[in-house]
Amino acid sequence: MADANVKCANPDCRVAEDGKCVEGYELAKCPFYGKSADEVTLATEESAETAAPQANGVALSLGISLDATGASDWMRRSLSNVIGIVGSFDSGKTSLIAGLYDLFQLGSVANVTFAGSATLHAFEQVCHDARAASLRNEAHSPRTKRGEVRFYHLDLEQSSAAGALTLLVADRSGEEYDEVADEVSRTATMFELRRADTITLLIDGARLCNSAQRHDAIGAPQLIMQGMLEGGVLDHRPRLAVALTKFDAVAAAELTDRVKADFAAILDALRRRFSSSLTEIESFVTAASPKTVDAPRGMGLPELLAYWLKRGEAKPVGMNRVQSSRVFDSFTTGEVE
Amino acid sequence: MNSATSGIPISIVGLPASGKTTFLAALWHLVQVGEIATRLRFGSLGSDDFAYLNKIVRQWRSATEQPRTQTTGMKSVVMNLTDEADRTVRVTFPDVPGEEYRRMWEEREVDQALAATLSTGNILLLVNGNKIRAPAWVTDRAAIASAIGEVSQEAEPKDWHPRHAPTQVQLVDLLQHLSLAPLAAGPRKLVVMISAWDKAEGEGLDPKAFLSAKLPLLDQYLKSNRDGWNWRVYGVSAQGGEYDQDKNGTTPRAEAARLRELDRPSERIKLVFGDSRTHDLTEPLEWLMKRAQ
Repeated sequence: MADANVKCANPDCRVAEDGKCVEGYELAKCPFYGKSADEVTLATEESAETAAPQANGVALSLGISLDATGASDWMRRSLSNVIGIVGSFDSGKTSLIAGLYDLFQLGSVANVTFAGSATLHAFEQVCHDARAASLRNEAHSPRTKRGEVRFYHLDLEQSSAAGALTLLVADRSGEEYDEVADEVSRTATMFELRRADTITLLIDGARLCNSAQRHDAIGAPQLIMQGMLEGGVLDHRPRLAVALTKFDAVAAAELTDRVKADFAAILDALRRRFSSSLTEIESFVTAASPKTVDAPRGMGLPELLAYWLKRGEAKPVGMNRVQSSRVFDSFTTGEVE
Repeated sequence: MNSATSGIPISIVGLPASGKTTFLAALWHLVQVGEIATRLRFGSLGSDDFAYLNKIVRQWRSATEQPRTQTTGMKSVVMNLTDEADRTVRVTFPDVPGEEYRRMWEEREVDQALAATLSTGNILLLVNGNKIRAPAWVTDRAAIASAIGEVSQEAEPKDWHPRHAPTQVQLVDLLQHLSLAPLAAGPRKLVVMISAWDKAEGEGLDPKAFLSAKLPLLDQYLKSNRDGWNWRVYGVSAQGGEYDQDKNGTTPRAEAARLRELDRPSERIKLVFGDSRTHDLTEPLEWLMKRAQ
């Protein structure tokens, strides 16, 4: 229910209803919170999601993944949940996004219906290397390049009374998340995590099967979480989904019991250290885009989707511990201070 | 006789080879000849140039496949039809090659004249039920190949191209474009017309169930009603079967010969809506022309 005492000059912000700043700010630092529209003139943001018009043509939306500004536009327009996916290089972030989209190709998922997407080209692109049209002999997932975070957009209709919801799933290169463990200030630019309703931490099942990589695969997630905690990106107490990925590789290696024990140990450690900073922690076993038939395609994703669509509780805060040098963040922090 | 009243634009849209021109040819024959009772009847020729319609209808009557619509430019086809209340309505259809709609998906651009047409009126979306590109996955193909003892051949992987996208993705994208700026026209009516129904009906499904089974992403998108489409789905065989190919040296088809033998060519047409079957292609047009309730 809307709180009549809460006001915000941003007409797109629903802070009175859900307590969330649409821009992802800490409420005390938001330039619009507590003010009327008369007091503040909103900056007009130019969307870069439309093609440049040609001489004889009319430009249409590009269908590519969204930058932070494009994602913010959707957050203003509709009730939305932002999902941050955190994991090391090649831990299966892009496969998770592609695998979820591909499930909708076959029908509704966990009683959730596809209602539209502004990023169909982007989805198709990341699905391609696992599709037969690629002519590959083995499913593959493209590597996410370093750079700005990109968002994949899905409008979803839930069969329950929950109604429609926009899902914005962030994708960023794994190397950048690995660096959070080395340098906390790296989180400053991670808008997607500060605004995330659910952070999804990926534990690479294939690495847990590899003796040389196993112990780093167990230890690294805690370091990344610690970096995020100290960088302030957990201040809004998001939900945490801990997802074991590539279960097909685990099953094929016949190391299911050992990997499940390792995964349970990782979960225990995360719960011990970070529960107080999170709204809740839930675990998932997934095979988003299996290379073999040892696990069904999309395994665990309906359950993960249902978790991603949960509403309430998490309250976003702005970035206030470290300064950012990124264009998007300097735009927002510049107005705050 | 009533004079033509306001024009009712209906855009027949569809990807390449979806049967747009065949549909127009069959419709023109149906309303012009009056062999069977139809919801909408032929009104008058008016002052428009009917050479194009007469050309494609000759091809249709001879049970010969339509040549591909020229790949550049847009033909605006106008018919003056009379409804049950004897009102004359002017129905306009842009007949553009499917490549124009594919360009919207691939190049994210639409021709200015087509944009002006698409940004008004209701939509008849033709989908070839016999040419649906369904998504398929490497792992599933490899498993099938392995099960039958086939050794998969090493091939040069293909880079992504938008054309590889499943049919249902391209159609959702097209309808999304028609719902958003710069083509938005407020709430609209939509007929999804699954063509080549004579082949598609072998699945044993009615058109609605066919849409759900074969194009589930499109089905979800429409049922979610995010973009406010007031829609229904039909199956249509505007030819009634396989026609002869429009090329020298090709073998005549027995089915085309059988269709030519029908005394009333209008009876080649099959239109399916739910459990009902008719030859009357004007039924969905009449529904599209009615104001939203």
